[in-house]
Amino acid sequence: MQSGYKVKKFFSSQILLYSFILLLILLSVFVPAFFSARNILNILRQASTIGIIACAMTIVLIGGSVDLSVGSVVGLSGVLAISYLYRSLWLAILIPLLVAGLIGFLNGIITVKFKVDSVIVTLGSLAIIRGVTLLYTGGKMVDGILGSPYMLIGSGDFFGIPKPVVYFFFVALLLSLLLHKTKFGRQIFCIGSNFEASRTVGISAERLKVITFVISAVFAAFSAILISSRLNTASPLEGTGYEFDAITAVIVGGTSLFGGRGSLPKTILGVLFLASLNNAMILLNLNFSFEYMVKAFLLALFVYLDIRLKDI
Amino acid sequence: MNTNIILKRINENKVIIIIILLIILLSFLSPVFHTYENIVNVVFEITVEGIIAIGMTILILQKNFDLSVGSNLALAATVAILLQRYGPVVTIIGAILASSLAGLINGIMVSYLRFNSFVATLAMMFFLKGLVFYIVNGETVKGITQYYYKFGYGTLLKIPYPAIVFLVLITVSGILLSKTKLGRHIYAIGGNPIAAQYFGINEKAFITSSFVLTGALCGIAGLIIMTRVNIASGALGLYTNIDVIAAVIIGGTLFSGGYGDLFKTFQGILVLGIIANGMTLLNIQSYLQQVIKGFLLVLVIVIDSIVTVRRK
Repeated sequence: MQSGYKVKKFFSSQILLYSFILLLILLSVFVPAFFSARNILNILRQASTIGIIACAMTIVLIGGSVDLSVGSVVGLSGVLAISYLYRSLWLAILIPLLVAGLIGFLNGIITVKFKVDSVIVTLGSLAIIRGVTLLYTGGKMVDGILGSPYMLIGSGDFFGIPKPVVYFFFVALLLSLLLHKTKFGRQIFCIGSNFEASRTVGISAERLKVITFVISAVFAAFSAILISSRLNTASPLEGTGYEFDAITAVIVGGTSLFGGRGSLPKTILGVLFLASLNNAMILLNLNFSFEYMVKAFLLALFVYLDIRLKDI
Repeated sequence: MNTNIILKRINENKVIIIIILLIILLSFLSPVFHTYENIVNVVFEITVEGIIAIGMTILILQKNFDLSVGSNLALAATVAILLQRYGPVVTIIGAILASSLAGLINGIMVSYLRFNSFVATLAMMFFLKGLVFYIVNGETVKGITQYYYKFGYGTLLKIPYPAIVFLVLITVSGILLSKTKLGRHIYAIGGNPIAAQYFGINEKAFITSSFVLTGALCGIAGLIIMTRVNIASGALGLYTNIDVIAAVIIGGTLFSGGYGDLFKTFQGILVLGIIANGMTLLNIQSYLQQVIKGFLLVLVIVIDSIVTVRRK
């Protein structure tokens, strides 16, 4: 009995890690081109965009909210960055981050002040921001300036590692430390598991919750800068559906949708897990429709395991 | 005291007030707005989302919701087109059955496996999208017969058949919800789950059947789309989930469950339909519609929250 409990407990905490290792072994054996330095770097580069957003989303979810507006923020930020590039390089970087910060602040303030569900608030801002972006560009793509130093932000590499991967690594490290090693992080867990109780023990819960929304929007904008810099163009439809991809990675990583429970390193594992699988399906020439179905199956499976293993 | 009562009255009827103002405004701005043809047009435009909104309202009353409605709609339309060669009976039964099955799986995940409806229906959304892409192989499928146009474009007493289906469905469901024990149980599950349990209401069966109902309604909506355009693709219904949830909440049903009704949802659907129609008539870019929809959504929940706080 006792050992059975221990085994289950052990698996419940590390199940994603073991699944991931198993997946890597299987893919290396059965997918010829999978295990090469070039392909691994490719996976990491593709994972970095959603990865950065998913790291920030983890903090929002642990704080007890959901931010569905990140995909639209990516769209708006990319368009703003490329448009302001014609004025100056610094504005192209600063304006999207500031606007995103303001959007996150508004999402947070409305959620907290009016005590409404963050799903509805951010669903509203998802529609508003996407609409504004499309109005701003008239539905057209915005092209950047060829040869501008802006292009150097996200393309190319540091010592052989693609730049987005390096940024992803530092964002993941920064946010992991913030969430798991500081007082701020502990307070986020606290407001997520019991908002009212955390207020009574003197945590400024409202302010912290607003900050989680600001973090998520600002990192979505950062991700958008990387994308638009690499492509040197911005589509007003960029980022459509990113919110669902990011949330999927966070939940596969075992973070609870109800707040108060989760881990940022596991979100990174979730991101890498999904990206590897995705990459393998492309290498195996599987129809892209399988990508959706496998993602759905994994999402359901991990939630099921999480619910089951929590009971014991 | 007096102002509070007035505020309360205004708040209870705010959607009707908005509808009347919109009608007056649009009658001045557009000469064709109040013509018979245009009114029929408005009613037709709202049928697809209106039919799905019936199920969504019942789900939200029980504190659940369904993100997979758009993909489910695409599934039904695709299945309907593929079954056309076997005649109308097989087509109708096949499409509704396929969508209901998706609803059933949603329901089982939420009620028996204790998934949060957000994750369960998110996974279903991905799965159905993949499934539709797989069936149609990334393309758009066309129907083989235009026989179905007779229904899609036909009228009875000058009212389009699809609109009649919608009006009958929402009236019957509205009566069932407000006048029968069945309906009261649904309110009890969302408003006071402990009391619901105490009275021996089989909560799991209710939640599962509500998801099945929503699925079946997606099937009917998909059939209606098929009878009008006779094509389907995986891209169909991309924003249906957001639009339908927005309509229900704008109508005044509370996202936190237990309060609302189908008459409110009808108003919500109507407001969005009139706005969409007015913008088309006035030649305003359709992007602005999304912005306005988002603003209305946020505005309605904020006003609700302010009035609720004042009343206390």
